[in-house]
Amino acid sequence: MKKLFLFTFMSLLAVVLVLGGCTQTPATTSVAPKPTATTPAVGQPVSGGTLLMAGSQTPKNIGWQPTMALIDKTLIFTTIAERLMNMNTKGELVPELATEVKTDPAAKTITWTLRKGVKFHDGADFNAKAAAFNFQQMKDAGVLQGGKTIANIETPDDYTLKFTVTEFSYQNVMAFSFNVFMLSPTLIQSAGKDGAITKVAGTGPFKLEAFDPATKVAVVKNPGYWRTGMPYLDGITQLVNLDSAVLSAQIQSNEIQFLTSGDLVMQKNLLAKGFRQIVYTPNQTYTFMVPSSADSTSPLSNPLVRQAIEYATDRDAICNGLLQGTSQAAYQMSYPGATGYDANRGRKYDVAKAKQLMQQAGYSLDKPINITIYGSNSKPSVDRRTAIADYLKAIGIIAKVEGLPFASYSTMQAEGWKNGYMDCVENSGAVWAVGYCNWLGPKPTLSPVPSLGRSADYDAIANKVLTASDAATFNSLVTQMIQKNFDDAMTFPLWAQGNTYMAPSFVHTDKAEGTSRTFDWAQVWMEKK
Amino acid sequence: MIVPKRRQCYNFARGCTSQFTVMTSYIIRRLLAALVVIILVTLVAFFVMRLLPGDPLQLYMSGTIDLNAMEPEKVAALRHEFGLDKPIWEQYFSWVFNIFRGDFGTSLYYRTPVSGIMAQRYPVTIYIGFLALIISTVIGLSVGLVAAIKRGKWADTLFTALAYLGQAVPVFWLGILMIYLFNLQLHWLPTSGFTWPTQDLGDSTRKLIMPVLCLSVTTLSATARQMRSSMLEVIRQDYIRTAWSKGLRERDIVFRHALKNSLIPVVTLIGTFIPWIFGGSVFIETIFAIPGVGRLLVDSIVGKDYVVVQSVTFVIALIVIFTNLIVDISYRWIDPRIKY
Repeated sequence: MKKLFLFTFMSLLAVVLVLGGCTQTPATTSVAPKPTATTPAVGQPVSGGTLLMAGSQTPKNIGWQPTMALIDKTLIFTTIAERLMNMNTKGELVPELATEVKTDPAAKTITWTLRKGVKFHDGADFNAKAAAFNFQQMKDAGVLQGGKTIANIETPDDYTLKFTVTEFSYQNVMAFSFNVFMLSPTLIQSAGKDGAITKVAGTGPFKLEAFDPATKVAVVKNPGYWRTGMPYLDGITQLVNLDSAVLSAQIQSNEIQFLTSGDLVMQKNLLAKGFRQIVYTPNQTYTFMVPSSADSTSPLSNPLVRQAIEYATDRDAICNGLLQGTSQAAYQMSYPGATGYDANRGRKYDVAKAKQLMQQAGYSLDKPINITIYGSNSKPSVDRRTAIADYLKAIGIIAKVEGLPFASYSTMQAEGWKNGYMDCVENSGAVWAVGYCNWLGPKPTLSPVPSLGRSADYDAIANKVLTASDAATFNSLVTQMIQKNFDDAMTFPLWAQGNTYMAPSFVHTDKAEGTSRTFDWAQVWMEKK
Repeated sequence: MIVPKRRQCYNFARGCTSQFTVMTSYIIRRLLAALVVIILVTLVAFFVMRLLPGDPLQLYMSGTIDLNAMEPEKVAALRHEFGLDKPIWEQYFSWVFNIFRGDFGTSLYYRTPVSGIMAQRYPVTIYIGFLALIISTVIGLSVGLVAAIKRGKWADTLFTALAYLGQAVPVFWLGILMIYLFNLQLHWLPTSGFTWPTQDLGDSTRKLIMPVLCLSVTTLSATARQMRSSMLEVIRQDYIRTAWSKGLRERDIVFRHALKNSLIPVVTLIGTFIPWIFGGSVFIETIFAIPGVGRLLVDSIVGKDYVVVQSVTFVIALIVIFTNLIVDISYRWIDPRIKY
């Protein structure tokens, strides 16, 4: 009897706990507090409040720019530091700490006119010498894109910064203007290399208050910010939590008001509960595949086969299904609004066409060809490539999906691969023309992708980029490269994805997102609760 | 036979000396064995990371946005800075030598000495671990005691069932369930975070309730079951029956006679939990965002900071080895019948 009772009791308890753990939270469970009656109408920013955000990582290095990782330069760092120029949604340089940039390709000079009256958070003036210091620091560390071409850095006056370069490239003008943040030399020099990792003074709307890489980063309003009337928030604190379920609980219980995790399933669940999805950086990530077309023994050296592969892959279905609608399918090496985009261009899903092309290339379903699709061993990446491999079976291509550890993946990208595609991701997102040239330009800097075959015609256009003197010429040449890329089916475009985050409805980011390539934290505001 | 006092003293002294000699030789044997284990741990901790495909520096450098623009001579300088241009065995011996000088190297990710990072994280892990240990010991002993005394009654059934459940339930799942219940539904406790009690006692207590309870569930259940089992064994002994026959109070029988003897295996069990405290609970620290050693290890593995991974692994192994040794040695004092 006792044994029966014990067994029954334990079974019931186990069932209750399992059901309790597995049951989905109903949509009516706690959401962020609604605005009170005294709140002003939506659209009128109000000042005040500290925004708490959380994600799976915090920066580990907040002030020594040469060794900052990508993750260190996102989110909270962008509230502290600014660049010489920002970028609008068309990829054009717009003023930020510099009011204009002038180039002289014949004289091989680049000149920025700096904004007056801007101070660093430690009280030091932002001027030409401070700007020059930051560039010199990056150049000396060997991490400044295009830094090798800089012959001389001059400061003719306090608010003019001038580079003399050995070879002029508009790609480098964009990189110099956008990729280097302006930090206070006074603080860097006093703190030293190791000390500067945890200290920073920029010119941004917020200044650093506390930094503990294990737990949180806190910034507070910069009262002397050069854009008067901003920022609206009193402060921002970035916390860290590795678990998606806990992050979801935190935002639902209003412990945080901004969620930086990109977990697609979690975002979908939160959308259903009335939270907003914020586009932090549009088209930040562009995914494409590079074939081993330089190898004449590989079937991928045949452009008909490459075209067939594009037609055989339903990228829209993958974006809507596997990627939960967070990515936009790409049918050319560009995306809407970016340099080189043509709405009429693209090889959309058409299996019949794909089979026809394979026949023209001399292949048939009776004799399948084998290739490998290389990429990282992360589950999302493997899943996407597996989906592509499934599509290719329909046209007689057996694609083996190989997931590589990060180091091997990077090494193989740089050193070459055989008979297959290499999954590549362009992460800069800011200027597509620059991002495109990082991989497929005249002198690719991100990765040489040596297994890619490039026609002489393509290289002829690419080499002209080296002498492009202004944005219009540069963009025009990149447009031609993208067209030629499409004509040759040189690479296999897949999709573009922005970084999307979540926030409750009382956090307003409409002015912060969508106006430039970067998220404007100065314009974020919260309704009073 | 009457043994003269002098003979008694002589025998006692000889006995002590003999025991001391035996104990010393036992400790020396264990230390030698520990040394072999430590060497093996250093080999595994060092070479496993190095044997992973790819260049460790490449792993770190690939995270930097300007890796593509890094000049080869700068790469070489960085490689030299981290000692990666030396032969692998030289790197190993250099690392081991530095460890015994207290220099665990510099974190690739944090760019600060690893010893400093561990000095920040270990107190947090130890504090939470000890809280969990105290709670699980006190409650586990009490529950086991009651279950044994009330054997066959509803209390015994209930506590035994809960103990089985406690040992079976996955800790990370329990943590998430508690967050769902106490935070999302009831709004009683915060989801995560850590505050020292000296900074804010109330906030610290609120933040630690869930992680400490989660951490103590498994050990509490094990302690309760062991306590019940050993107590049941002891109260069946003849001397306990004699005590009952003499008419002693139940309280005296349980606490004065039975409890001490039944504690021997329980203390042994609790001793095995101590290394677990220093190892940190990766799941609990990850779920509740506690900046302890467990989370440091996870962050470092994810961030491929091999310097931190090998150093933390080594320190945890060292602590486990020496706490096991101390616990083994302490058995002698707990139970004089034990001979080495």
